[in-house]
This record gives sequence, C-alpha cells and structure tokens, in this order.
Amino acid sequence: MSTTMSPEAVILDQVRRYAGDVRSHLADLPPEQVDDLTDGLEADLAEALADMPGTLRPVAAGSDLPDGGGTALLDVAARFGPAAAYAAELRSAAGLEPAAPGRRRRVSLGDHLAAEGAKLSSEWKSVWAPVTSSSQWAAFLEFAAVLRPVWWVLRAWVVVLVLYGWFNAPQNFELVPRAPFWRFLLLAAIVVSVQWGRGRWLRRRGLSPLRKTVDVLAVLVAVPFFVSAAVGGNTALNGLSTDSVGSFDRGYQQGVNDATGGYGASGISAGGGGSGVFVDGSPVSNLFAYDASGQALQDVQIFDDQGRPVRTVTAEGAAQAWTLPDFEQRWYFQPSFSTDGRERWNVYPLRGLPEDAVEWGGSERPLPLEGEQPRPMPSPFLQAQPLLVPSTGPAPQAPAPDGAADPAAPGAPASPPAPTGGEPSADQGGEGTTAPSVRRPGAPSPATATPVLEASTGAASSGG
Amino acid sequence: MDTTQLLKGVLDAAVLAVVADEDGYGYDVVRRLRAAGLEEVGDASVYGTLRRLYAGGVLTSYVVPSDEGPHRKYYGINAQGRAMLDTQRKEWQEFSGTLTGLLGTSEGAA
Repeated sequence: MSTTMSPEAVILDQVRRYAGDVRSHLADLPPEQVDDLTDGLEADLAEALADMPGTLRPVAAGSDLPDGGGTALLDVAARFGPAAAYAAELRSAAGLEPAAPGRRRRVSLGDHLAAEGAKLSSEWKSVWAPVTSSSQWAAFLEFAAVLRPVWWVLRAWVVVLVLYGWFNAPQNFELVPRAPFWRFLLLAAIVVSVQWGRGRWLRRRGLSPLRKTVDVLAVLVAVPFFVSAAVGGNTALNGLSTDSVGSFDRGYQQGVNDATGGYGASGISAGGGGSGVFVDGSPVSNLFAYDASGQALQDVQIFDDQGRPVRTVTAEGAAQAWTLPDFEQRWYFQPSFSTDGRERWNVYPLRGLPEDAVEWGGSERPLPLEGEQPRPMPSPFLQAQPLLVPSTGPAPQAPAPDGAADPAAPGAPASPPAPTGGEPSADQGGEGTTAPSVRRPGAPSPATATPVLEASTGAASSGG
Repeated sequence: MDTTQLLKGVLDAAVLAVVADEDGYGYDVVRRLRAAGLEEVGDASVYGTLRRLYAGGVLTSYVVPSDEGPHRKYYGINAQGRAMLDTQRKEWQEFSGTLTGLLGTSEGAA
C-alpha cells in the first residue's frame, strides 16, 4: 500500500506521527498552549525533512513491512531526535517549565486509546494521502468549507428529529415538527449548533470528542434518513396530512397536546398503516348510508368482507375534539352499544356530542353528561338519489356488474331499522337484521352481526 | 566551547533579527539562521522561541494555508519587537565588545 504513496505523502505521514508524539509529551500543558506550541509543526517538520533528501527513502521502500510504521517513526526521530527531547526543547525555548515527572499524567487507559486512535487515524490518512494531497481535494475542501453552515443547521435538525421520533408515535412523524415546543427546540438546537460550529460556544477541549460524536451520529442518521425519504417516497410527508379531516385547528390542537404532554385530545393517528377509512387519500370521519330509494339510514352496522367492523374513528379519534362545519363548538363522537353492552364504533352515521355535553371523568374518551344522549351529526344531504334496483320480480335493466344481483334491499323503508335481536337463521339471513343495503353484491357476507341498541333520540332524519 | 549554551542567551535577538528582515514561518527561520552560520541551532529551540516571542507580544502571527500539505504559521515583527531588537542589539554590542576585549587580552597574555 504505502509503497504506492508519493514521497511527499510518506513524509507527511511520518511527520504527523512524530508531531503527534511531540504533542503527547506536552500533554500536561493546557490544550491551548499545546496548540500554540505545535501549530504549524507538521509543515515545519515536513519541510525540514524535504531539505534532507534521502532521509526517507529507505523508509518508503520498507514501509510495507509489518513493522513499517515503527521504522518510519524511528527514521524521523533520527533527524529530529526523540520526540520527548524535541518536546522538551520546544518547551524550554518557549520559556515553559520542563515537564514535572510528578505532574505529568500517568499513562492511563485513555492515553493508550488516544495513542491507538492517533495511530489508526494516521494510517487512515496515509491510505488516503494520494487523494488528500491532490489539489482537487484541496478544492473540494474549500468547497465543502463553504457548506459548513448548512451542515451546522442539518445536524441540529437531525438531532431534534431523532428526539422527536423517539418521543412521538411514528405515524405522527413530521420533518418539521409543528408543535411549538418542538419548533422551539429545533430553533434552539440550530442556534447552539451554529455557535458551536463557529467556535463561539463550548470551546472547551474536553467537548471536542462530544462534538465529533454528535457529528458522526448525525451523519449516520441523516444519510439513511434522507436516502429512505428519497426512495420511500413521501410516507413521512403523508403523515403530515392524513391526521384528521374537518379539524381545522388540528395543528394548534396537536401543539397543545404535545406541549401539555397529552392532556386533552387530538393527535389522531390515522395515517400510514394505521386504522381508519380513507376516501381519495383523506381520512373519513363519518359514513352516511342511504337506501335504494335514497332515504337516509340510521344505525347501519358496517363490516368488511372479513367481518371486521369498519371503523372510521379510532381510539385516538374518539378522544379527539372534532370541528364541524358551521358549528362553533367542538364535538366528540360517541359509539353505539350492542345488546351486550359493548361499544360499537362501526354503526353509522356516528352520533356525537358537543364538548359542553360531555365529561372526561378519567376515561379515555369523553362520556355524555347525565341526561345527555348522543345526537345525530349533520349529514351531507337529506336524501340521496334513488337507484334503479334489480327487483326480485322481472328484472328490467341495470344488471349487477358481476351478474349476481343482490335482492336484499328493494326499496327499504326510510325509518331506522328496528333491531330486535332477531335470530340469525342461516348464512344468507344474517345480514337482514340491520344492514340491508350495504352488502357487497355477490360477496359472501360475514356471519351475523350483533344487534345494536337503538339510540333513544330516535332521530330518523339527519340532524342537519 | 558549547555554542548551544552561548546561543541560548542570544537566540531571541537572532530570531528577532531574522524575522525583522522578512516574515517567516518556523522552518524558514531555522533555515535562515543556519544559512547565516548558526549551524547548531535546534529546530525546536527556534520554534519555541518564536512562540515565546509571540506570546510576549513582540511578534505577530498569521496562518497561511498550503495547497500541498499542512498550513504554515508565519511570524512577523511589530513595533514592540523592533524596539526590543534595538535594545538587544545595543546590549549585544556592548557585551561582545567587553568580551572581545577581555578574551583578546587573555589570549595575548598567553
């Protein structure tokens, strides 16, 4: 390897090692003083060596031996003397006390590690010396130096995003946190990072490793992050917009929520692989069913083809305040209940209560106040356009797309169905209890649905 | 005679004189001192002296990046340095005159 290095690179490599050794012999001095004493030392040593041609020839030839490093070190020492003596001369000429044997730190594990690290870094540098000694590299460094402020901002951003990701659910992840607290943290981190980068703050020597660690970690996080962001499309960005529909003050709400550590509500997570129902990519809060004649249906239980309840409002959504068009108050959705007393969230249209009609009482979602019943939510329209329905009799037109006509709901009544806990007989009778018209034509229907207690408001039409 | 011992007392003046001539970096100063005849001057002694004079406020310093390698630290003299150099020059002339006279007589006597 090293035999392919240019003589200049070899010299520089040796010189760096020697300078490092000299510095290690000045280690009892304050770091600033060491810097002051040895700043530019490499250049001086390298030039002094270059002034004595031949000094390094045998080293370059023999440096591919396993102990090449040691030989090289000795060779520089042959020109300048042992690093310890060199350091002592430097020290005395600078008018500083000679290293007091008692004051000099004992060689600790840390020193050993530092020495090993210096060796590794020196070897690493020598590997890249052909590149780093080129003028293109210098040009690149110059270019990179201009971009350093960008890096200062970026590393602060990455650190805050990591923290943000740590403390927040993945589906709430945001590239630019909206919550005031996180925004403030981001700003603060940027200020610290920039000041740090400019050497204004945290200049203490002991913090230099910390800074390097932060930089390395930031690179390790930032690179995969931005690559995955670039490759994985905008999943992270999607998370920004899929939270809740109809909730105009969602950003504020979430901010309050984050800032208060989750007090209150909001922060609904419906994005990504979460739960919820989506139309054209935006989440759905409520569903409104109309029968074939266009009449609004109440208390329709909706299931998917696997029998899973279709739920638009997740557990988080149930605890969240929603804004409705034309309503000043915010609303909370309320579930229906099955005859066995369990909550049913797949019964549509969902009912709700304004915020002054609910109480929290330590539960996960607000409960109706004494005497309050969930009220119907405004529907998009009172009546839908009637359908042409293939009847069980002579079917005139409009055949079902897949040929299997559904005879379930020919002109069902507009009144809410009256679930009476009717016994499901067989497979095909199951859906007849409450959900006459929502069965997919031709698809096998799931097993019997549990009857739902009729809401006592008895609101047959929509509340709008 | 151990000239390195002699040199110690006058290295400040020598370094100041070289830098007063023209700004220079560490090894450049060493080279010029050697070219002037101070063959035994130690690199580290010169560097240390430069740092001490700089710390004493009689030299200025600036870093010049290098295309091919590590940066160089240049030193220049300031007004305070020139004043110091003048003083030391005067002291040296007196001292060397005295010593020349002293040594000359002893040598003549021997």
